[in-house]
Amino acid sequence: MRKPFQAWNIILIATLAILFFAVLYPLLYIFKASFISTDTGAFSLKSYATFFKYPYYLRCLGNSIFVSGLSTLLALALGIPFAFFLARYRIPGKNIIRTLGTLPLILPTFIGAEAWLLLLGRNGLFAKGLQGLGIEMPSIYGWKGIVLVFTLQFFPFVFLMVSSALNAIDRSLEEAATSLGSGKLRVFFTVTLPVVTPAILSGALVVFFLCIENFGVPVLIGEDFRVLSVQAYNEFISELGGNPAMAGALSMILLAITLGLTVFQKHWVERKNYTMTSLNPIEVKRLRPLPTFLIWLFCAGVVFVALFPFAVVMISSITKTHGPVMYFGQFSLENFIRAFTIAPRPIVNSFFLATTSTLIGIVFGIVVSYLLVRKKGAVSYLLDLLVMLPLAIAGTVQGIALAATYNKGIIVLTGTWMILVLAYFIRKAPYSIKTTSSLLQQIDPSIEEASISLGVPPVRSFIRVVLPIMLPGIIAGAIIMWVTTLAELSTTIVLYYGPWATMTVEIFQRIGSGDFGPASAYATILILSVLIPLFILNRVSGRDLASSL
Amino acid sequence: MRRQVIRLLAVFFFLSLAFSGASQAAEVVLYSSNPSELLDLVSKGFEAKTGIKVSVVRMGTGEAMKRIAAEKQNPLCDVFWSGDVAVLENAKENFQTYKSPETAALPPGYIEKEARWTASNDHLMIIMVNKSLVKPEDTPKNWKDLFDPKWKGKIVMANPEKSGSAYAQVYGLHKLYGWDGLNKLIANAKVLDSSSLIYKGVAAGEYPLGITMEYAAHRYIAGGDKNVGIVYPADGAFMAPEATGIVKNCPHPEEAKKFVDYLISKEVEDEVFAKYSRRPARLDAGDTEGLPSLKQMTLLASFDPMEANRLEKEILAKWKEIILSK
Repeated sequence: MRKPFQAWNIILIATLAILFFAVLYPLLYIFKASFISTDTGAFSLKSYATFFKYPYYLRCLGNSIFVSGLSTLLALALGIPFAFFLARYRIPGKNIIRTLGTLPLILPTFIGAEAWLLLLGRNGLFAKGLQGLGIEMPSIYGWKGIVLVFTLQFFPFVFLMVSSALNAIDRSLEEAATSLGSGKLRVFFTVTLPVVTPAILSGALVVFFLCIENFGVPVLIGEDFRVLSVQAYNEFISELGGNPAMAGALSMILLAITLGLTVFQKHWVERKNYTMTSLNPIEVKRLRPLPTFLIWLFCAGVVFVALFPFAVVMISSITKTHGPVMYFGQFSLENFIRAFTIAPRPIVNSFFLATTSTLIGIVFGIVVSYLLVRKKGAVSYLLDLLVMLPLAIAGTVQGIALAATYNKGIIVLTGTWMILVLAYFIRKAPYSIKTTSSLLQQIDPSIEEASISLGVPPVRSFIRVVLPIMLPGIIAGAIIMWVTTLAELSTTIVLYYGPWATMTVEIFQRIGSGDFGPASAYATILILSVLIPLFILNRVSGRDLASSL
Repeated sequence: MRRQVIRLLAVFFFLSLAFSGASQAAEVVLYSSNPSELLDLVSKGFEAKTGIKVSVVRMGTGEAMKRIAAEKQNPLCDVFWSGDVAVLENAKENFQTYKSPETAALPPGYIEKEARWTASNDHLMIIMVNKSLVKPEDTPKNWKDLFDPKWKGKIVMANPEKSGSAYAQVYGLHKLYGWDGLNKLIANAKVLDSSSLIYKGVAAGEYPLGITMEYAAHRYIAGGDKNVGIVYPADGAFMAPEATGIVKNCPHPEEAKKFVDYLISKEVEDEVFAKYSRRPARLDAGDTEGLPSLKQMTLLASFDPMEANRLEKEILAKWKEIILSK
């Protein structure tokens, strides 16, 4: 058995090396850069001193925490009742509501921001309608718009986590409380709520993390309400020369927050989880017509409002436009024709980059999953940490770290398409690893050992025997990698250069210059590119898509 | 089945690779920060006229300068169009001399001493007004009027640290009214991160007044937006020239020269003016419907792009200090 040991060890070392140079080293590099004065090149705490000296930077930090906190609370306020109603009561169209309720997760957040601008901006559709009635809309720009978009796009995380916890509760638990004389409310607050609390907390942490790392939404509708992720980007990229030290310092502060959240999640929240096997699922109650209608109204209303913006984007894409001015009610395919004839490159780029990084990610994901499941030990624990680390890093921070590290020296990647592929596969491979490793755990190692003992070399045994069984998990992981890469903005915006602009960058820039018509055309192409594969996946394997994210 | 999937993926992979790689048959390579539609207009026009294909690579001005400098040993780009003259001046060692016959129609100072860059278009810095939020009698007539405390929170301008055009505006105001004037403006204005947020915000009715470029404001007027108005300040609008240049040792020098001739020809400058509201640098250029001719307005004569370039670091450092302490 010497030989298998060697072959897999070489692969293990190579994998660790890739992760070290793609993840850890760039982070250490900007950590170091944040302590180096841009003027003198000597060690200096100036960047951090500047951060605490000026009210401007502290305001960015405060703003980040404020919008993330508020959005998290509101997402809980929507997500918990949504999950509870769907799990406990009979509602017409329940399955459709449940499926549609998870859709906001996979749609790019900044497209949601664009749609709300089209609807609620002062020149927006609602605002114009209300103006006719003599009502003035409050401005959507600033923190209100950011919180609105975050809440509507992230509440499904709370919904998914809470509903899986709710479904795991055994009927006997609540029945025992009731038979001991507790009222309905008392049962809810003393039995049901404590059991689902860890799930609520997990959901809240995920939402808070996604809010604080988000780049597209605050930059589009924040205007002069600046948050940390946007300011780090601003310091790094500037037409007139950036400041890597300050960008490094801001990145480190953001990283401290996101890493702190992840550690808290792993070591505190996950440990508090109750393990339960629900032998007797809770009965789904039928209520009287009026309460049923009210509950239905709430659930359907939430889904409608959360998805309405995407319909608006699709309608805008076929609306006649003249420069930045849109003529709603008059239709034309010109936006699409222009997207395909004048600037088709971003579409091709997006598909090329997503496909390439997914292909690399598949191979990488399979190898890492195998090492994690079959070669347990201290080294594989380290591997687990490293490979999951990108999930705890804000997209802009990862982008800044990679761009700063590989800007000069032996390996120059900044300004090439390779750095985009590298960033994508490092950031998205964890999704594939999650789906493949859970499948691999169910495969008995003796099948593989049988092949090896029959004389087939270990790596070939793996490819011939184990891989085919893992195929469903690999395909699911690949589709998730592909669609999330297509929708990626925060890392791309830091790393891309001109000719390699992706659809998300093109949409982002066109919204930026006020060209909503063409932006909506690209956005519609993007939305369809994301939805169609997911729909197929859902039909073919019957997977609950959002649960694998 | 599996093999077919793999084959399909491979085909897709190579197809996208083939699509994305710049085609080798390109005759002239253009790096530009101008909007896609404008680039489409000139590249199709040039190809129709000369049969030379234009391969367009779109990227920001700063980025293009970095690229051109990085490709010095092995230039990939032929022509850059267009960026603030100061930006080209700072990078002029990467451009080769070419005095186009068309430059005879340009004003003095619009071509570099050794003809390493040629100014092709002008940007006018103006005040953009949303008429639904500002009464005609209240509409400011001068830059100076923006310093009035009654406009507090109602003016937007872009961050000069992030945008070259915003720096040109700050430099012009500094020239006219010094730090005293700028301090008053900062007290009134909201400083936004990009120049596009200014015209977008004013057009959307988020802000009554914005300091921006004429062409950006005029796109809304041309699109049929009745609320957008342009004020040409009586104390002097600023005119910032934008330039083009041919990269030193470029792969297609002869085609590049023809392309530069084409860009600064009267026909193209007039068309770009009419369709994209970018003012021609040529003295013999025609007028366009809906935009006043330069003779009808006051320009700040002492606005000097080269001086702006020299003072940039100093002005921006002081600017940042004021903003961070605000």
